[in-house]
Amino acid sequence: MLGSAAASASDPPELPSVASMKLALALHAPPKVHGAATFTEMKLCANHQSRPFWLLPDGRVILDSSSTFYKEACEFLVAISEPVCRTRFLQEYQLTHFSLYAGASMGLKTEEILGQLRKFSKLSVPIEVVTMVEECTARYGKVKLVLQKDRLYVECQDPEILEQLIRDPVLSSFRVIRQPEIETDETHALAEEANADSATAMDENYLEAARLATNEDEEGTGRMINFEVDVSKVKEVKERCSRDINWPLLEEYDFRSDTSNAEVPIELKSDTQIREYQSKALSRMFSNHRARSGIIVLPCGAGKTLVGIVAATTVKRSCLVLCNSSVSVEQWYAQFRMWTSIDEQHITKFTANNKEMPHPDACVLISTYNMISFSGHRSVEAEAIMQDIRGREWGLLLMDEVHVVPAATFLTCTTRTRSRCKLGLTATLVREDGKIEDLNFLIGPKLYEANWLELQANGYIATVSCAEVWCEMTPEFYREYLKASKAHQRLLYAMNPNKFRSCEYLIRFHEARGDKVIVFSDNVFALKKYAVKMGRPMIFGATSQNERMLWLQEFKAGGRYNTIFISKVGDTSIDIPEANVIIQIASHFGARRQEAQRLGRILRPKANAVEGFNAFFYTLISRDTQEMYYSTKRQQFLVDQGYAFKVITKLADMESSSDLSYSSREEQMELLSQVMSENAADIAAHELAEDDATQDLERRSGSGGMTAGKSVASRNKRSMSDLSGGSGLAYNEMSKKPKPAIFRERERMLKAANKARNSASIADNFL
Amino acid sequence: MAASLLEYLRGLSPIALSRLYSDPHTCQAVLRALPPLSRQYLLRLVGAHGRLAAEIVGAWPLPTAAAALEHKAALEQLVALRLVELDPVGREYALHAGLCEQIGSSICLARGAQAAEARLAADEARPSVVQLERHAQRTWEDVLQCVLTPPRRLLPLAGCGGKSTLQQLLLSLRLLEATGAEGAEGAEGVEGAAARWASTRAARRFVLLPIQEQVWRLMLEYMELTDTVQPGARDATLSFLMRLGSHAVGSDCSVHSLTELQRQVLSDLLLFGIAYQREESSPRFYATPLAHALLSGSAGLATSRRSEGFLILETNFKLYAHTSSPLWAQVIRSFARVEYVLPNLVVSSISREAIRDAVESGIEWDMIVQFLERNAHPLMAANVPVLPETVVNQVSLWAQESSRMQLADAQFYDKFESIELFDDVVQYAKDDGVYLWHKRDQQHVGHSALIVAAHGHQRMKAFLKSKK
Repeated sequence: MLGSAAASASDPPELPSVASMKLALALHAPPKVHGAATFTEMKLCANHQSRPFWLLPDGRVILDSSSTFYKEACEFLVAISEPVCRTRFLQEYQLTHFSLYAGASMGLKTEEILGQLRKFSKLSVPIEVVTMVEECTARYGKVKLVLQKDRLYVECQDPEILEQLIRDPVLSSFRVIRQPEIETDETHALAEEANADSATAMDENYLEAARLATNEDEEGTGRMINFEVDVSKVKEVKERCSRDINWPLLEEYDFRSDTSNAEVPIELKSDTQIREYQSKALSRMFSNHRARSGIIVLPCGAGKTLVGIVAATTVKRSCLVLCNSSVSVEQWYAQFRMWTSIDEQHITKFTANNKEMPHPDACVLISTYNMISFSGHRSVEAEAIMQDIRGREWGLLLMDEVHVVPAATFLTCTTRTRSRCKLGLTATLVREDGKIEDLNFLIGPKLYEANWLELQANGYIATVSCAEVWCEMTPEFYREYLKASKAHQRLLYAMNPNKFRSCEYLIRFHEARGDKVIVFSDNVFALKKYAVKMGRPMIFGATSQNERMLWLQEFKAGGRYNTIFISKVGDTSIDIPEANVIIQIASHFGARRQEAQRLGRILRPKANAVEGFNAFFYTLISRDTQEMYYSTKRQQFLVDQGYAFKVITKLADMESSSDLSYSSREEQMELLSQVMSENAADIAAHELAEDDATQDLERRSGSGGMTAGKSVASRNKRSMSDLSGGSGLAYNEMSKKPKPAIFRERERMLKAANKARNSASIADNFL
Repeated sequence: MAASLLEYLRGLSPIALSRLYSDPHTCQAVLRALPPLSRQYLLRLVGAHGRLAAEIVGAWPLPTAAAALEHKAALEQLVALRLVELDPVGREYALHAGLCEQIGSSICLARGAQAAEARLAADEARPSVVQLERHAQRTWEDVLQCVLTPPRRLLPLAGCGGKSTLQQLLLSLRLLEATGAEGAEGAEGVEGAAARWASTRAARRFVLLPIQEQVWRLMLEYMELTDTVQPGARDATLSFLMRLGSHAVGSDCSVHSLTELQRQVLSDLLLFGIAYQREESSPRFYATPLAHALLSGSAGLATSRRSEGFLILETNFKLYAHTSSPLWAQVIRSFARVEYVLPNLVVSSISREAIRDAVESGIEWDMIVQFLERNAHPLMAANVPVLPETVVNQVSLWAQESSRMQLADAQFYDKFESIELFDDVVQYAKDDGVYLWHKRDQQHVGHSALIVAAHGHQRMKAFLKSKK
């Protein structure tokens, strides 16, 4: 039990002493520690030693993992709060409005939550927290958002609440006022009688009618009164209700009693094993036999897909799966076929290459975000499918990797499809742009978040050794660094010869061990330099789909190339389960998500553990540069999940391996002059182009409407002028630039690879 | 500075030691404090009536290099403490005169020196070892609190006959410094006067030290201070400390057997938590584990129960302290950012800025690490290594950041009249070994510049003069 320093109940009493009293009396109260929140006045509860957590007035909860009630308390906290850090001995959670809504949406009542808090907290529950819990949970579930035949209604039982909502200036602006149609609802009939000219007058009558209606219905059998809101403003409506006026909207789908939508013939195969945390996550989604929208957070490799599939088999209504790349579409398709009994007629893919009409009654349809949100001209077949998607009422909308999708794309996807329930899946709910909150309104609250360390301890994900390797800048590089522009600085710290040597050393070390290494670089110039110099394949934005497939197959097959260089296009959309080592040489500023996402590439459990570790994650940092600062920031998320980043200032016996590149000063100087001759505008273009390419890749595979010819033409027009080289034409155009050597080298490598694989058809694409 | 009482004794004069060894309590205390092998040797000599031939003694160790080293160290310790003497020709080891009898008799008397204590009535409310340890720890925390936030009210020390105060003691340890002119004012115990002391940088280091080292430093200074006020107080204190150390923790001693001076010292030791007395009028007092720690330094604590750790350091640099003492929030603040102070927990996090500030205020990083390790919670103590490696590593790197660059004074020269003169001067600076940097500009000679180490300036000046 923790807290042994404090006297426990069975301990002998304190000794009375006159002498030490003298000293204690002379002491002042010690000064308050500046900057710290001091809660020393709070009362400790009886038996506080055996209680598992401290609950503070600002909603922070500190949980003791050595407590006998740890498991119970932890489950409770995960349901009602956000995990802040989950380290080994003490963990921190934060109560927020959203987390409490999420808790309430799972059916937890105000008194239950307060009761549990009182039971578990070592400190008496602060009044601030009581108020917060009451505010958040008591109002939850009173107002519902209901989708009915194309239209979206805000519904509630209490006319006073409804009145408040209707009078809200923001909400009323989203209201849709139709000429009353034939409604079964009595209130509408009454409203019709009022026959008002203006909307306001109608409101008054409407409310009056509603009041009348409920008064007549004293028994309160739960008659609902409602008003319609604009479907396209769903996010704003939710935002307004949940955040501003504190009436969180309840969205539940009672799929068992849904008779209007046909069932999909889908069953989970009987031999499917669902892990404990997966079923826990699902139980959060499906408690009390209804499905609720929300997000499930599981690390990569922990079986997110299966969770989505089980959700689909539970709802058993038409299900639309959205992923962020066509590669993922294929993976989802294969997984659906693998785990469930669904037949080919009922599951279809909708991508640039697959345009089958979905089954007319009920189906599972897998597509990409870009396919759905595409705003250009579509081909006839694509348009027909799109019509079908828009027209259908989806039982479940499954959204993969929700954190990477731009908010606008997302909004388009959710407004174009009508779904009764939405499930978002992701590995990391962190975004540097603060857009996470949007997800809350677009999808729903976070339903479950797995504990990485626990999964690791149980062997569900690989045990990763994380290290940050500090590489001294060479004096020449550092001198230039100090006076260079921002863009050049980034190039200089990526190209630091010592970093290059460290990278080379690590690759050799791990290849010799039989590991599979992915080197990540966000900087394309550096990526090319490294890959070509070391004679390893590379994949970046401008690499064609065919070439990608070729290199990935080579890499997976092993033998020739056990290392592959990938730009940020590989962060999410490329699946390489074989890899177990990652070396980052350049990364995107301080993006915590990218760091976690990349780590996820090697999280699939591997067998060959060495000293307890079976995967390795290195980040190479040029010392005394901006990189140091970014790196600390990037690691924050993983560090809070309990990962430890070891700093390596010197790689053992690297100095003795004299055959590493750039050992001599002459070579280093030549490299420096190459770096410095890069023009700043080009570097910026590189960076932009790569950002584009990350998106473009999806667009290309997703732009369903374009004919094949058009698609190529548009790509050539973009042409990535200075970085492509993917087509002979582009190569000629830019041959005046000092880069041919790179491409000759690349072609040579490609040729060799192709010869080996005897696949002339693929080679045609880029030779 | 001596790290323990035993080491301190080694530095005393033969006469002072002879005086000390005439006291049976001291003899027994020294015997207890000795490392096991030295103690064994001493007892063998006692058994041999105080004299043994050097050949016999030389044959004791096993014939291995390690054993020979241990043997040598054990004998060296005894000789340094003047417990044993080797005759000038090196043929015979002899026990210090009188020691043989003192030790022999205390062994034979079974209960040793305590038997000689005045008889006391049976003790009804004898405190337990755990209680005494807690009491000592809490009392000492109060002393540390005085170090960090010196109280305004003066705390007179009885051992100095009330002529000096705890603040004075801390002042001479350089843990406090006087602020303002009021320091000269004689009115004691006046509340409301502006704070006259502030804690120093040394104080912030002091609180991170191991507790036995803190107590020992304080007692050393205490003996110096009392001796200047009341001559003879040092010896009285020393033999009293010895006596306390010779008692088992928790067994009672009678106040009546003490000299007047020792009674005064006792009241100060009560203040520091080295001894415990229930009431001022009580006829008995007890030694706390601190008294034992004093006698033998860190080795002493290993035999006594290890005090419970309360710190938990996580891999995300969060530091949690299970404590209800406000002192620790203040101590932790010197190297970490404190986030929450709760009734029984202090939450903080170690950051680059906090470590940099700590280093700037004179705290070395390994001091912090040792402090964390020493006070690690039992849950952490099960780890190997105790503290997360990555955090320790990072702390050391942060700490070293500030020492990577060194500033040195230099002299800058420009506006040279001709490029030839400039070249000559640069050459001279290089020959003289003071050259640091230069910039040569043939078109604009005035823009050429040279920097040399500051200590070369006089010679450079002379050289420049000679050129004109």
